Amino acid sequence: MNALNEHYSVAVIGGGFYGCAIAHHLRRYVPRVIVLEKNADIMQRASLNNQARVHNGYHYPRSLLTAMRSRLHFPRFVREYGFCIDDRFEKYYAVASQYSKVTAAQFYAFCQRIGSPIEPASEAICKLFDPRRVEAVFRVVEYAFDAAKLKDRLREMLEDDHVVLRLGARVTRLARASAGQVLVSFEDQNGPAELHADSVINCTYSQINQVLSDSGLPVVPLKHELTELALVEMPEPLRRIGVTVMCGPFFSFMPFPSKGLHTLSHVRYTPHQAWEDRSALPLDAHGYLDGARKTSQFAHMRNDAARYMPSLRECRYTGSLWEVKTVLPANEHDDGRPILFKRQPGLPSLLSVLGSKIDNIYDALEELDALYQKREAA
Amino acid sequence: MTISTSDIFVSVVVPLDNHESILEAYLLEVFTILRGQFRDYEVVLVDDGSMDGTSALVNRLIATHECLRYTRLARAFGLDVAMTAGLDAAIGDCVVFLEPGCDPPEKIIPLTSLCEKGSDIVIGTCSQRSHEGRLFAWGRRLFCWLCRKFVTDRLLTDTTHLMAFSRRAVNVITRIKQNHRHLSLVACSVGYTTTFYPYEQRPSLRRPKRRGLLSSVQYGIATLVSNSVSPLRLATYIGALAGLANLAYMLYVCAVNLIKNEVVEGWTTLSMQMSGMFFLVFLILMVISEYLADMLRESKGTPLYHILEDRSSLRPFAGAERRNIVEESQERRHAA
Repeated sequence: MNALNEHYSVAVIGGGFYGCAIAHHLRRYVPRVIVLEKNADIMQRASLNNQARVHNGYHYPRSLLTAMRSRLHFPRFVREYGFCIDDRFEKYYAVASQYSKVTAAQFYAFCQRIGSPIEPASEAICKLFDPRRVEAVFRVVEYAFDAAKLKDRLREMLEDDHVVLRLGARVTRLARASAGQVLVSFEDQNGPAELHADSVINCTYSQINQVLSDSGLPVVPLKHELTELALVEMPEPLRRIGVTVMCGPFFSFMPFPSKGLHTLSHVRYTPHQAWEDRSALPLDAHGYLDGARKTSQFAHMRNDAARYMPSLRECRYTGSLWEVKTVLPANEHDDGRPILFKRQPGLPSLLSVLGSKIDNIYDALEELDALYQKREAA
Repeated sequence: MTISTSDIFVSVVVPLDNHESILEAYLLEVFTILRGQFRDYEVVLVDDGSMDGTSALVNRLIATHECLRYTRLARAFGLDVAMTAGLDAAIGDCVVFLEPGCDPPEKIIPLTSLCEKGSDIVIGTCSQRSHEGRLFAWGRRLFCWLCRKFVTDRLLTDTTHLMAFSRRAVNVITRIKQNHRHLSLVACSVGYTTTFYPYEQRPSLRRPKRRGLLSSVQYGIATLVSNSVSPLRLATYIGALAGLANLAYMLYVCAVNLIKNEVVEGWTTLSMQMSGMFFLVFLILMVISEYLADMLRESKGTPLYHILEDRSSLRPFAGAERRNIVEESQERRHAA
């Protein structure tokens, strides 16, 4: 047994974007912070396997709060992570004529209300769409981030601020220790180990309930989906753009800068399976993903999307990104994407944080500011 | 023995109209065929305002079957609209329509095979209509005859609702904005390669809801009007004939007046006036009907023509092998 006898002010479990950003942020309040990540590098799972969209509010016409917060965070994210942002692509949002939950006029009014730049798309772009299926096409300001560059930047930030990064370390148990501390048991290549922390923040996203359950704590109601994002090479007219069709069983293709390809996602065909953690034993989401039979639905995605943009028929499939996406059951059917800040009654020093949108990190950081400033005042 | 799975992406569209009692078993047959024969497929159920437990049943089936979609129309719009909605919703390279209950699902295979081999549209025909009344059968034959006269001579009499469309046929038909009325009629008049596929329908376990006589007649008239301006042209001809007849009558009246000695007082004037008026009326009606027909054609916005295919030679321009070299620098040919 590797008895490190190490003590940290804050131990963050999960080296995704939220875990790393939170760990870095908390260094301004506390001296010793450690991030425990089970993979060989940070940002390898949900923070990597997504459409890499830096939101500017357009995506949430039916949830004003989420849209507003996205809009406000946009300039800050672009400023702080400037090198990781890819702004070379033109972005378009198209409103479908049939099956859409919003109309073009509604969408336009909504964007103006939250102050997000929007204008009708040029004739050349409109020609790419089937006019019968698409009511209107708008040009918007939305960027993509390069996940590889973002990862490098985060590692730099963590190193600069002396946040300890422990890779290949999988947390097996959290327990109450003396003096209000938490005993964190984990396993890495050297075998089982332990450390003590004043506070623990559980940023393990789909695995949140796995960590809680392993520690004998009650699980949080969460809804998981096994999702597929198709990685494609776009044909010439679509190579410089990203398109999202609103607002219903439609699709979106976004540039994926870290691979020089595009990701294609379809509301109907991206989720393959869904399940809920309700009580008792949650499923080990990552374990389930590893063992699941993954049959690509790219053919469905392409066939369906090609009816809206015929050029999509020429795209070349190079593979799929499979990942478990997690949402709060209450927001399953709407656009709301609040960040979960769950305290454990059984273990007050433990905080579980679930965030679904990378650029919404600032709400989480501000909440932590409020928390820590209150502690300092007390 | 394994039959090789086809690469073609098949969409099977099943319009529903209170088919709850047979739906589950029917879908099971459809999926058995699709799973055995195709790699990529989907089944789209278009619910045309069913008032039975179809919706609840489908909720259950959607959880158990893969690639099953359900579109429920807000109310009963009629089979033609339901089939149009199905064409709009389907994403496959080949779209097959099945009438639940009477069309055997195994026909999916020969229909998609015909589509693959080049027939853009396949329409099933069945001569045995055991559940049809005598009067209805006669009415249907009359309707088909009228369609052949006025719309397209390619329509056969015994067409059913079993159909298959290739993707390009779907794209063309969905671009025609009119209320389709009788999809097989529209399909035949579009001009793509159409094959008729004779088969036997199953005796339907469920007695199909048949329209009453008056409603059928109205449907027939609406379909003819929607698909063709020829009846309007007929009105023009009749008007022309009537006009000529009136003209002839006017000449006759004049002749009588000139030839006969004793003509009743006022008869000539009255007859001339009446037939003159009628002649003008028919003339005006003729002109109006022609313009009406023209307006109708323009308002539909149907494309003037549908393209079957478009090819070009591999060498886009001649002389490509020539090097771009000149051996002399010449004076400018035009004044500056």
